Amino acid sequence: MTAYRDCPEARWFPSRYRFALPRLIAYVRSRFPTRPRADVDHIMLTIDRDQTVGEQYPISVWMLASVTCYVAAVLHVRWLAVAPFIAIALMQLTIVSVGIIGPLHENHLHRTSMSLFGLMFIASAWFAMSKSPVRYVAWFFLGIAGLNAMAFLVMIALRKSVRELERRCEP
Amino acid sequence: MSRFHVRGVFWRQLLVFAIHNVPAWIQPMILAFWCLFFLTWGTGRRGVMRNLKSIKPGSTTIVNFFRCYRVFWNFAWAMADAVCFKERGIMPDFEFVGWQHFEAMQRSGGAILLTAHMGSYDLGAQLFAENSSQRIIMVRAPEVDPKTREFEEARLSDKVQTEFNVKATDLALDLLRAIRDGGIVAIQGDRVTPGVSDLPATLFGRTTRLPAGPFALGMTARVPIYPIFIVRRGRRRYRLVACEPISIGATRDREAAFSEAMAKWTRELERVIRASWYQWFMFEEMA
Repeated sequence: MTAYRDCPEARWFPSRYRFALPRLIAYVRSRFPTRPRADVDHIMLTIDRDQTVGEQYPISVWMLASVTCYVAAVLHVRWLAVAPFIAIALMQLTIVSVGIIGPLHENHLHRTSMSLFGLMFIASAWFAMSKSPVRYVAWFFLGIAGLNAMAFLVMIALRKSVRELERRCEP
Repeated sequence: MSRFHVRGVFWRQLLVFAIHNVPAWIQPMILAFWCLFFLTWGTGRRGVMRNLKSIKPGSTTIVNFFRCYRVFWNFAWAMADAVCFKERGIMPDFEFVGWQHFEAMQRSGGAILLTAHMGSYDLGAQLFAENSSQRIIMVRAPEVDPKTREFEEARLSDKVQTEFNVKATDLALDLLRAIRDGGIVAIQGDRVTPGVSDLPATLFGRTTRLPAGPFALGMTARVPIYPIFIVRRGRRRYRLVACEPISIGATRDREAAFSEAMAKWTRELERVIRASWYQWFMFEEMA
């Protein structure tokens, strides 16, 4: 595990982000100066791909909201209130089903992540073809996924520059 | 105790499973759901809500119910972050406030670190162990459920020595020896567990009892007591707040010395809890 001490610039290092689009945004942001923290004596920033709240919380809310919309689209109107609970239960069911394959205390994060995104793609592609308003949710998901794919290609082209950038905090 | 009881081993096992299987980008929503589920734990919920009533006088039950959810939410994250570190070695971001007191503690040959059930005690001790050459001994109450205790003990870090305050007299002698050898003893001073000697104190205007051990140890070993709090500031982000040390010299009037030290400690404790009430993980009502 890498951690940088007293280097506020590390906050915007692309390697602290999971997905290509937030990584690209962080890369652009890191080109601007970062104000040093005056309210604390020292800081220690860890380099891990899941470290940033600004990325994880919105994605989490967006994913649950999308699944809730898909569930609501197939439910009878009087069951709409339970749609978020069914959505979260479905997501957890997927995680547990994938997670129990193989040793229990081994890291299956990549596998569960790919399964969830795979199912979301299938569901979004299905609902995108429907006539109901849920198609906007599906198209939004597919649109963001497409943007992320483009950002991924840009990040490949920028990889040397990113490496240079992240050397800034090395002692 | 049933494995499905709130303090049972099942929930610890489930958390470890979740850390290995739930992608970080969906964790907030899943945690939010489980915090809602744990609000059905009446004893814990009532304990938190009654304590909130003392911390925030004049607050209403309905508002404290939502505040209680926030306490559960922070507790869940603190637990998840600690397990994430133990299982996957991922350390959160840290901020340090009161660095001069940290340095003073490191320079002193042996000290007592007095803290509270806030943020992540485990992570704070780990961070300290990684950045200090001093030996750190963490004193904690054992888990109530034997299976949970076994599960947790199997996962103890090798960098931090953990002692359980089950036999207070034997432990006191070991801790005294450790301090005299230049070690740091970390104790939680905001809750009394059965079998632990206590002292009267006033917290948020209520008469309560807090552990006497840290003060007795400080007086016997003649070392300062450093109040240090690990405050959760957001997702995988913690702040270590070190306060001015409390000195407790050997005197004939032990009662007065203890009472003065306790007053200083409760003042710091109140200040930090008042500012971060949403992460005082005190699920029992203050005695």
